[in-house]
Amino acid sequence: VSSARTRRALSLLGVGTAVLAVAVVLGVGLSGPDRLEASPLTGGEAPAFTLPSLDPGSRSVRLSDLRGQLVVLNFWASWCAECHVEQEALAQTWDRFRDAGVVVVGVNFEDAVDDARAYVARTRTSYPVVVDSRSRTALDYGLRGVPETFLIDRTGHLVDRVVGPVTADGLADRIRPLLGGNAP
Amino acid sequence: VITRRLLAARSGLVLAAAVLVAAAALASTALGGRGATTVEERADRIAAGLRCPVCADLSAADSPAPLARQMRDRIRRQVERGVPAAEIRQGFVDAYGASVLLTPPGEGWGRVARVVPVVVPGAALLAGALVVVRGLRRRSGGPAQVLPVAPATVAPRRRVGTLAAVAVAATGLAVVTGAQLFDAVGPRPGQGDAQPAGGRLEADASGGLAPTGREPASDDALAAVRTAEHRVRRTPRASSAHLALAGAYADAGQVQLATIEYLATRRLDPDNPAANTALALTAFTSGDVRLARSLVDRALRAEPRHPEALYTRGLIEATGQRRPAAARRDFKAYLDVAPFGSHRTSAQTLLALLEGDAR
Repeated sequence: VSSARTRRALSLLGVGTAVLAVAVVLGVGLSGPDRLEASPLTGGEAPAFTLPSLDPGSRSVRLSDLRGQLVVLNFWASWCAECHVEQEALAQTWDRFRDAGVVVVGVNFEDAVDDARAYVARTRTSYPVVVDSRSRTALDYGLRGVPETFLIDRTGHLVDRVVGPVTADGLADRIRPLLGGNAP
Repeated sequence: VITRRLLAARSGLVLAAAVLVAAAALASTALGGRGATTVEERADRIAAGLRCPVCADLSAADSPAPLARQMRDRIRRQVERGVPAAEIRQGFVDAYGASVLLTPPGEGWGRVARVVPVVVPGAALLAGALVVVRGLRRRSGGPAQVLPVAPATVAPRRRVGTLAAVAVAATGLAVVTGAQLFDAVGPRPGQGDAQPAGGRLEADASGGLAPTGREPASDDALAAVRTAEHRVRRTPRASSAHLALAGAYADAGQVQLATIEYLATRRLDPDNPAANTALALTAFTSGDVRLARSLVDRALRAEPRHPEALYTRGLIEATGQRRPAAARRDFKAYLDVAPFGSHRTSAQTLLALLEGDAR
């Protein structure tokens, strides 16, 4: 009888351990940092671009004009579900770091202009949003899908690429070391 | 004497045929991709050699994705401006890395995949020519008659070497040309007699990528490739899907893509006997006997009665390692486990010759 009890206890312990292991793995997987992925462009000068604003009343954005600032270049589309997920994180990053020399630039990718404008209005996006006609800039940056976010340092070099949605904390962790003493 | 003459004539014909096939493969290799004349054709060929970045295993030429369309557009504009094909490709490699190329890089295993389509037909042509020249010399009373070794022992060895070389060349060429040599004996089940397609899957050979030297793939072969590609897209982590795609590419004459997919299979399933055997044959035909042997040994450790692996190891032992006893064992084992195997005839011939040589 005692051996049967021992076996049952061991079985329960085994099942419990397995469940715990799965929970830990899932927990780590789902709440982990942003998915950084190496790009062949990392470490090199970020490809130059001059892109028209999505808002017809605003001026174009030229990368070379942003030299001296940290650029968070985010490729997105209104039809992309994960872009909706990360929108709040990008807005938070912009609000938090804009006075420390960080510029968030949204690059609208393969989208209908009206849909993109409606999305920007609905989400009250306040950082500059530009349109990448013919996906020239996307191809220059080796884009594999949206959302994808590139970090460009103050000297114009590409530092990081995040594939998939970013998180506010993940972005802050990447931005702070690049800002040095200016980080809020 | 008459029988011997008949045998000699038949050997000559076989060798001449092998030389012709090899020459045709080389010519096709050399001329491949030179037909593109218009901007659209040239752009299409370049796009066909680039991977669509947002798809799984589709070329930029074949993908309907918007980004692939923009790639085609960019390529076409660059071709119009006269930018060389290599430079256009390099632009994509700079942004996406070497993985954007549908053909393997020129290093490591990629180098093997690149050289095989050129080296194998070349080696077959050279070997065939050498044997023909020797045969002619022997008939005209040349140096072969004054060899200080008794002809009775030399002749079987030569025949073993010659036939083994022809078998290797035929096997290698079959890989290179999508098993056309074996198909010439009789169509495979279900293969029918499909008409050649328009060669949509042709690799671009105009700008430095490795050419393939083959006939356009049949409609059936292309359909099989599409089906297998679809399966890989659905289950990219399934080694069986990659193995099926490798086979489909091989049947369509896409040797490099087949090699890549065999490598993908091996990455997912390092002991996969079919993938290891195919890669062993590739390594063997490009001259790396040691690597070939280790791969085929691994295949047989996983599946000791794998027919293709037994036959391949027999070939390696007979011609690459000069171990006739081991080769005999493997050919016998192959004949035991593959009563309807496609290499049966050559295995029987080689075995008979090896046994005759041993006596």
